[in-house]
Amino acid sequence: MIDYTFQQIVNALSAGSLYALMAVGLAMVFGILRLINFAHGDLMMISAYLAVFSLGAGLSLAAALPVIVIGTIIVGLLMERVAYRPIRGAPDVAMLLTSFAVGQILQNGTLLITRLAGKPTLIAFPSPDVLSGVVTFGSLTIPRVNIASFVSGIVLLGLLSVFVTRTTLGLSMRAAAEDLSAARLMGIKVNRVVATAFAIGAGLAAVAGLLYSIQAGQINPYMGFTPVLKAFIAAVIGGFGSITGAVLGGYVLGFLEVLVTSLAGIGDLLPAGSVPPEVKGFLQQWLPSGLASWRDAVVFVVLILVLLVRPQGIIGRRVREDEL
Amino acid sequence: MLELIDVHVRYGNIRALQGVSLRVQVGELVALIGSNGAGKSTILRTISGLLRPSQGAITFEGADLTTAATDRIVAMGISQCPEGRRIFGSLTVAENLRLGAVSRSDAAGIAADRAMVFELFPLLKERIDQPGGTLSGGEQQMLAIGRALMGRPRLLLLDEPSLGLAPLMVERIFGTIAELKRQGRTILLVEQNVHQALDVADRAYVVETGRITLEGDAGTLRHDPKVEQSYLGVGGVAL
Repeated sequence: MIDYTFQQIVNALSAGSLYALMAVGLAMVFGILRLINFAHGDLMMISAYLAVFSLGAGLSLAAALPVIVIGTIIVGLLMERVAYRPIRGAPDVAMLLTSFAVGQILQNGTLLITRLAGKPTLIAFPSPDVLSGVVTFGSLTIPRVNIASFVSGIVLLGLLSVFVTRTTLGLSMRAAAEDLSAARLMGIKVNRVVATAFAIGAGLAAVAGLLYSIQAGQINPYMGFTPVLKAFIAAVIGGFGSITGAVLGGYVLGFLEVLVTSLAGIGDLLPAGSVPPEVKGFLQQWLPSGLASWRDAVVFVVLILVLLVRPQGIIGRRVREDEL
Repeated sequence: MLELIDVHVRYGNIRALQGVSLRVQVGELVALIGSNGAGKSTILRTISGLLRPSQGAITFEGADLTTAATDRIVAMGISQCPEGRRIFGSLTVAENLRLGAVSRSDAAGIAADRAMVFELFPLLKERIDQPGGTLSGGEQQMLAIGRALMGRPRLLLLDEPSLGLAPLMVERIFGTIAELKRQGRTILLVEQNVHQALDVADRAYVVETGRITLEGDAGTLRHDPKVEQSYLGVGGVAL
């Protein structure tokens, strides 16, 4: 039972790290521009395809990683420059619709390229050996990719935290998120700050995309949608627009999902005689194994509850109305 | 030093400024006075490049500011301390001041100006690592002025620095403004507190519905019957 619990905690930390890595990118951009960038999920997809092509071309993971990350960052920066900068300051709905359009273009563009390269829509992901298989600690077996996800999450989010608290550019980014016109009055170059937010978000999405693809085992041009939706939920639960909130929301979401799946069918898992039969029967009745497939429904119910009880999220702040 | 020539600004269909012309000379403290919504803040926002004139020109030391970006205007030497203080609440006092100097790269000069700000407002030094949002209104105003000074401006724009402060703190802020003037700084001040603004200013402009309706020496304006009646509460009901 302790092993089982520990295993689930590792799963939760791993899933939470991926959600947090994605949610942070959404939150940074939203904080400054009030833009909900649903095309952020497609950056994960771009990363996955760059990984397929670079790993498929025989590059080692160490050689492929810069290609994947830098390539995704370039796509993220182009997205901002070409699609979002011209409509900066437009009504929220216009920006939201633009982000869907950008997503469609990236998905269809990828589909076109894979067709031209003679590949199928669904591609098996060539997981690098270092990140495949499991590690065994005593009676615990943990997939390597889960450890990699957790470690990447902690390291990258730690670096991000240093960036936004210690560097002038990072502080400028937080200032711009808090009060854009006051930030401009300081002489902060808004274009540079926005581009930085997109670049960091894309870099983190690239890592998340790689790890997600290894876990999923296969990729397709539409794979970014569910993760970006989850990341959005994570960011809303934490407090949309706040970086800390996004990280917190990501891990809360990871734990919540794992809690639902691990409690499902727990009555059957308990060894005979470990609990009274009434308890076991109760658990079997109320936490049936079929509950696992209701995981996303439970997550959305929690989202609705958060929006009802605490619309600004766990640590969110109210948004100024008088910002220019 | 600063000159606005026939500046018009529109907010959609609203004509916020309708041909404003004014000038500020080096070392002067010029006040813009007028009632709420007259367009005083709009003038400062336009100088800082947050709003674009639809017509007219703005020059600063001979350079054209009319279409310059805000960050360039700050780098040229115009800092604004905006209405409502607008400090970054989640950033500490030190971080707020650091961002005030974001357009500069002279580390020694920045350090010197930080020391100067702490000399001007010793209270800020005590609160150095406190988030700006936890400061009182008056302390936030000090931080906002200090943050603007960190840009080492040659022209300082102060927008309603006494608004919403307790009387004692209003005195304190006007004391600071007088001190900044003594240091020889050039200041363009927007104030609803007409009495005290005219006390400290060299010259003033009266702004009404987007136009300059009166201008002159602060001392002269203080005894102008129209100013007395409309803004100083002397001689009957204000119109």
